[in-house]
Amino acid sequence: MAALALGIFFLEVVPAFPRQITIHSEDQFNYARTRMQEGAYMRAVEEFERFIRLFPESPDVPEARCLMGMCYLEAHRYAEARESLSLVALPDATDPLAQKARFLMGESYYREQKPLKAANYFEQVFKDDPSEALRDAAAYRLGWARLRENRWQEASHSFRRVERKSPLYNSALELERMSLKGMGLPYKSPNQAGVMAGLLPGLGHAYAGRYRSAIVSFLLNGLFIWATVESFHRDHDILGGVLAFVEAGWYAGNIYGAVNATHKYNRKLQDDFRKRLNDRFNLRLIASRDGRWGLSLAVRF
Amino acid sequence: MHPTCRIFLMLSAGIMLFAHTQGICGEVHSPEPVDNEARGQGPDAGADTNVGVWLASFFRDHISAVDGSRCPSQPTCSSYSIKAFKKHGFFIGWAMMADRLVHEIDEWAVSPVRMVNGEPKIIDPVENNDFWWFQPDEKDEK
Repeated sequence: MAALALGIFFLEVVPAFPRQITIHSEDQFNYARTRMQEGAYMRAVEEFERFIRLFPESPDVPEARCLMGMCYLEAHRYAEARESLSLVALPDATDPLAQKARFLMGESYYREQKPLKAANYFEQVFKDDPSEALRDAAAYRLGWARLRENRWQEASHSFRRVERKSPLYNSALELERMSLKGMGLPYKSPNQAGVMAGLLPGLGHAYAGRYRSAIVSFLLNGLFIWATVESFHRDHDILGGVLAFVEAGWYAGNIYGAVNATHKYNRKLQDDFRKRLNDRFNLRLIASRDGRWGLSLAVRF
Repeated sequence: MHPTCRIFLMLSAGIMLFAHTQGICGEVHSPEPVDNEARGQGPDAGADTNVGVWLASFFRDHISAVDGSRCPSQPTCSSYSIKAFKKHGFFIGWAMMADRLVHEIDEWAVSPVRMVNGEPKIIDPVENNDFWWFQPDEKDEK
């Protein structure tokens, strides 16, 4: 009877206790990577954060931080990517993961249109003597960063450093040759534009190919100069002074505008030139041979 | 009024009218995002002792406010001018303002155009016009 009562007690009471769920670190890690693979980058970040919070002692924590950084990169959240990656790419760390994290930090600056900062990281990765694939990728990316800075010769030199056996080699070879052509683009001289604008308002704009601006600048300056001269000529000194003051602004703006227009013309020339070059580099997540997921460099064809 | 002054005023009015209809200096009240810095609420809001900032603010708040939206650029010329004055001081700001009023007529050829509130706008901020001599980020990065 007592046993029956005890049985009834457990039948009633035991289900009321919460069920305990055991999460294995590997399951949590794989779940996060699966979210990442599906392209749900911010969801993957949440899962990686959960992994780090639940298993802070796991040896996979640095890789999780690296993958988090990559998710942020794909989500265009570059500052957060660097925040995560910087915990792996410590200044004195030389392990492969730290080198990859350093490369990814460079990539974040590159994607953020900060080629100078990006180049610093790529150069450092290249000098750290990492794996061949990473070294070639760093040289290739360094070349592109130099291209964005319009440092054509340095870009060509960087592309030359990509090894022959690298899948990026053919592209690098072409870019090595093409990048030098950036020096021979039909640039216009900002100094010349400024001098021309100073001699005749509007002429500098015309030199830069902006004819409507040239006409407006010529008319505005011509009108104000004429009115200023006439005012002084007819002894309206105060009016003449005011007009001269305003004209000084138009005249300075005319010179500034001519130089500015030429720089913009040259920038567009360089941008159009770069658009014709093919970037074969792609950073994405692929499965490695042992079934583990990791960061890998791929070539886009 | 002296005949010369009258002629000058008439010509000025004519040019301004032309410029206005061509979108050269047509202005403001376009529904662009609120720019606190340009509106004097940014970190350097207390430093608005610049005459240029005052003049451009006055134009934007009291003249353009009743004028309708015609500026083809983003930010509008007055907001641009305020930023230029704040960033580079009176003299360079003035030159940049004059340049902006002149160049926006054919800026579309070299600057990106995006749809803003259903209207195509030339994206032409101050940074698009001082990039060749003022790059604080890249200098800091060195």
